Amino acid sequence: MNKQLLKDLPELITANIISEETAFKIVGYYKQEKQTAPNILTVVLAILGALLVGSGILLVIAHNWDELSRPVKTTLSFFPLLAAQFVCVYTLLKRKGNISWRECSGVLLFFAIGACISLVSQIYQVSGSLSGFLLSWVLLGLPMVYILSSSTVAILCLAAITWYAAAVGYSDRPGSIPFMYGIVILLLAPHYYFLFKKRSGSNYLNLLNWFFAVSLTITLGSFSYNQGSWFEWVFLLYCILFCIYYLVGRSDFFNGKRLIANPFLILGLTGIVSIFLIWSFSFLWDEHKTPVTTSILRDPLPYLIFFGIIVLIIMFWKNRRFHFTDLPDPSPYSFVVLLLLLITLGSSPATAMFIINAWIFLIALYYIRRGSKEDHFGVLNVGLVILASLSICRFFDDTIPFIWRGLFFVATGAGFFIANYLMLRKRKQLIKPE
Amino acid sequence: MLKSFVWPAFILMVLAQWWVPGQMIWYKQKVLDDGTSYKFLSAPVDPTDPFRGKFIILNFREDHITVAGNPDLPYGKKVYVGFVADKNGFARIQSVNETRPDRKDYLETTISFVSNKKDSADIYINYPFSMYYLEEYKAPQAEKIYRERIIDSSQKTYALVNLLNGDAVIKDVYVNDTLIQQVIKNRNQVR
Repeated sequence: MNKQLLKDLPELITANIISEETAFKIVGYYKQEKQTAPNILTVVLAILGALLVGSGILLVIAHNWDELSRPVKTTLSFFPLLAAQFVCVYTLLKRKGNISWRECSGVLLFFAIGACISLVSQIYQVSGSLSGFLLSWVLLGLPMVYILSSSTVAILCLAAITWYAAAVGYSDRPGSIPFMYGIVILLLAPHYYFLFKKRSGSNYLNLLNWFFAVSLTITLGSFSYNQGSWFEWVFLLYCILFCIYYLVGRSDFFNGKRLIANPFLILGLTGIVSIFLIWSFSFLWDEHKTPVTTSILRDPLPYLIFFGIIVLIIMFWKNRRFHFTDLPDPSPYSFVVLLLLLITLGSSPATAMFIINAWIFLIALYYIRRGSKEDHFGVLNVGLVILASLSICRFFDDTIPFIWRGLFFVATGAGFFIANYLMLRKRKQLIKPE
Repeated sequence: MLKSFVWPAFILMVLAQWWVPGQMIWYKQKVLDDGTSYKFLSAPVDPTDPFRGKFIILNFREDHITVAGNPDLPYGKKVYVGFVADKNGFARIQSVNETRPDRKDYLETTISFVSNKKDSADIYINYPFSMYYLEEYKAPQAEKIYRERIIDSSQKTYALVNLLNGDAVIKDVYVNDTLIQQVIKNRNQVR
């Protein structure tokens, strides 16, 4: 309940701003809202409890009890699974409408599956890979997302399958593509769509958005594996991903949401600026080479880049407000700049680096101007932080004379003070009575 | 419609959750009961798996065979490996084939790499059994024991492995014919 508003009600009535009837309606509205909404704290604590119990069971099992005989250990290995399945049956029969019970029983069973497979692997010395174990675990646990309508299990599946994809693509078998990651994401999609359509304001949707955005950022590299001959182009793929994130983050759905509930905008902008900052150094340009045409088509990377560009074109076409506004946003076009530079200016790094620096400066300038126009300190300071990051990177660039670096630093620092001071003065003038 | 799917789906899920570990047990128990035992000389080290606990990794010394000619066996190709016991009772690779042999005590595995020479080639294989799970506190001690004994060439560490129709299960790991768990126990009692 909005306590501050309710406290202020008597004062508002006395000041004749609202009538007594309106005040009653406001109190009635908040009371009703409180009754219909589940107690978030109870649900969160219950899920945390289940997560701790589940992880605890896994750790106890990881100890490996040597003193017990093989048949005893085998029988015991099914106990947590059986117990968790009974809890699920009870939930489905008696507590189906209770979100805490659904989420907790789902989490318990999810961990019990992991515990059971782990124990059998220990007892029979199964030398399977970690990725194989994680995949079996996810596939056996995923039905609970729909049977128990458990979003926490969906988040656990997403986390585990991300680990699987990273293990397959980066460590277990470098060069293998974790296709099962895509299949599990597709299997989770209907649950996400349901939340998106029916509970667009729920915390679970925000959490799933965060987990998905981070998960795709981690795993994309494992899909783009190539023979190592044109590693630098993976940056372009990531730049395309972050541009897509950025456009999603600025879509109508996320427009009215709090910044913390918009992982796509945060990751998109951070990703774009980070990639450009990395390319603003000379070491990658020195390594950069145009790939041999015949070797390109063997790798999945060019196809992913092509697919990403198509997605972006469709998004731009659908999101026409990005095209011609009085204050055009350069950030989502960053991939075009990087693509053109990689193709045309690979042999002249100095020019390419100059353009990269100028582009970061342009993005910073856009945010400073937008912040000033919208009278928003947060947006203004995002621009200044980008500018400051650029200055810090140039601090380490020994190709630029000290005097220029020093002047750039002073200018950025002064910019922070001047921009914030000007906006504060503008605000004060606006609220000053005539 | 959605409500009617819940119970059949739940029952199917529960069956799958029992079937996957159940069939692991079924196959591995069959190999333990009916398989042929071989001793594989090894060199353990001690890593951790966050879920499955502590284990030692066994690197087997018998990892290749020299054959005449230059066979076309790329990395990762599935092969069937036959073994024979040497005069000391340790397993030696007898054959590497692309087709299943007539015998039962063979191993289904993959090619690690092939080193081609003038008229011959060394075929290196991957072992699908390399993890031996131990109790949390025993795994680091097992590695320590190995490290101490490796200096002395008369000390032998080996894994007793059962083979049946391509599948394999490590039964136990021994240091000089004593179970590694027993070696750790004896060592702790002396202290």
